[in-house]
Amino acid sequence: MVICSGSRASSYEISMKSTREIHRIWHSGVIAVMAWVGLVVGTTGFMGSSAIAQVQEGLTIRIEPRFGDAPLEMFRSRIAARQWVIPAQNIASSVHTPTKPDDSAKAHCESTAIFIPADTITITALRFYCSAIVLNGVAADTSRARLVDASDSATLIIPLRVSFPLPRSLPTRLPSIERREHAQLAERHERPENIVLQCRLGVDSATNSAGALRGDLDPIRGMYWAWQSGYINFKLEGTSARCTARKKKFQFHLGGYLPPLQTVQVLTFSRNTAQAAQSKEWLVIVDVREFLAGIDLATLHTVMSPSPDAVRLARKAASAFRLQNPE
Amino acid sequence: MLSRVSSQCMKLSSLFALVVACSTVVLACICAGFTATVASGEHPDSTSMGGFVVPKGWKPPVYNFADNPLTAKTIALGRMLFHDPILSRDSTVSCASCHQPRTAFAHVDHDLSHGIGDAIGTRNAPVLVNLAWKGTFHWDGAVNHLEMQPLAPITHPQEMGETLENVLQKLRSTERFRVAFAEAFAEVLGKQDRHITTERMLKALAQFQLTFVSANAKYDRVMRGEHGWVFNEFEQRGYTLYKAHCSSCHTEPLFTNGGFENNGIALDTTLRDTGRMIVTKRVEDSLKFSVPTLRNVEVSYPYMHDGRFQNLAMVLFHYSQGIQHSPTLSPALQRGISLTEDDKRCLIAFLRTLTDEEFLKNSAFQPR
Repeated sequence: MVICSGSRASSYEISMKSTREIHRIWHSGVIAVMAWVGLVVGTTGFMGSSAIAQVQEGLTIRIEPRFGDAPLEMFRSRIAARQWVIPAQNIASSVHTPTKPDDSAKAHCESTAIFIPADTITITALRFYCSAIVLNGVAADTSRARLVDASDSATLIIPLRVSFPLPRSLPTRLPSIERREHAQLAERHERPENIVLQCRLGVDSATNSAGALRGDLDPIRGMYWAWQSGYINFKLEGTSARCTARKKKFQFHLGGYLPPLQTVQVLTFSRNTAQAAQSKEWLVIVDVREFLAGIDLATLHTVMSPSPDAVRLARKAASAFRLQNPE
Repeated sequence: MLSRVSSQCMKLSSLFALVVACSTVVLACICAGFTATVASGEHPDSTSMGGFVVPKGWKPPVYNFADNPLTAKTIALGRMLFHDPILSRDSTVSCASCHQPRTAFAHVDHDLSHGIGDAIGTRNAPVLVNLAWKGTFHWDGAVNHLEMQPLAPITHPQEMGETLENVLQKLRSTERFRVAFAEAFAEVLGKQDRHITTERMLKALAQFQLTFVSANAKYDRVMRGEHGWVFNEFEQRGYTLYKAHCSSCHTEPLFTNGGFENNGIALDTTLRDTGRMIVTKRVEDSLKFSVPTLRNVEVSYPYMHDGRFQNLAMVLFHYSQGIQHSPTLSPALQRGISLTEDDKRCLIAFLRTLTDEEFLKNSAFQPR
């Protein structure tokens, strides 16, 4: 820039030139800012997702209560409840007993057989909570919890809403998965071509302590203990010919969230992309016969508070759930 | 010339830079301030709690007001529900039947409360004082949230003996409750949604009970240094003894540490109440009960979870001479509390300074 001193013309020239200079600074400043903003946005966008996310419509979970292979009807007619036969069972159970107090390392392993005679039962209630439904760790349901009731078919279909593509990793987000269990789950389910569905069977501690809630978590739904705060995660009721309780009724109300008597369970299912392409429906079977296997209803028929029995039965309840993949 | 132009440019660019720098700093301050307010949660302002005022120097309440900010209409609804026996099976028992406002919401002269059909319960009805600071409820801490507490007496066969479904159905068919529910939640929900639900009933009851704040006893006035309020020599000596022997469990200013303790009272074999162990199933919680607040203790006789002590003299006799040792006895009581008769009189004089007349006579707690 040529600077001349003295004449007005040259000072005009100078002011024009200095204005241009100022403009130049402004322009370069604006460009710099825009570039910076673009870089930030681009980086965030890049880190966010590698492709444009799309919501897959029509994805659902369908829960099918069964007794063995038969659909679980609770009532055959308005008068009589449908009866189910459980054949006699021989349950082998190993009992570890140390031979001497100081010999605990050399545990004596004894195999005992428990015989449970045949039984005829009815099922009058099957209800449980499903919460924190995730697909590959991504939340797929906006509800805080869903109350599934075998006698209310509307509750047996859970619509899912999630954006594809999903991240490719076994979800680790759900609490109450211990490290060992997580490793076992990873071994079973983690494949590059798999989609993993997980949910809680029951509700978490935060929900148990959150105060008055509405909808499926309303205490009026009959799944909340008034006398000792807490939700019932899984409820199964019915009658058994062998049961010694009043009116031969068995009642398993499995709840409890205070350690060490937590009864909430995590359910994990997976299927590969080929299976996912065949059906948008995840068919989850809950097999009541599986739950009742090995339970002697003559002696164990009433569990209605947090206890070691409740914890054990809650695990059994979780094992009664399985995914049925399309052939 | 060069220097003049470039100095002009420099001025402008430095001005520009200065403006940018300043706005960044201001923005950062705003963000920091905002997050500090939101994240600290230490002293939420009254407006976020619907006007709930925390007495000066007290720790913040544990109740989550964000989910249920106080409103005048909802408190009024809670008051209606609290005093109405419609909540019981035969419409004879209300909350106020056992929780009487004039006596700090305790059930005076009853060791165990009686409910529907004169059924006698298994526990003494405790005072309802400063509930916003309470995390668990009932002598064994079975209830974990203030909103859920009413479900227990409502459905208990020896208290109100009713079902939740019936209660809601009765409320829905009663005109004055339909009106009160519609007014109470109109601000929050809009005029369209007037349903009477479990959640709204429980939240209304909670709001009313949250107003039971007792912080204006003689003790409080002395502590605040209010003009003309001083302890007399007996009360002062009692306070000194209190701080030495009682504070570890009955900690000021709430006069409870909010925990569970075994204070050495023997198991009542007619009740076999093992306290906290019933809830946690842990042996180390056997015979532990919730530490009650001592505010208004003068008017809330009889004392202990089963009301076994008729008066404060008997309580102090227990602490000085009657403690039963067991594996779960509170460490603070292992060696007992040695008190002379004079000491006991002074302690009782001090405990009387916890009586809050304003609280007991508050007409806002009475039915309309």
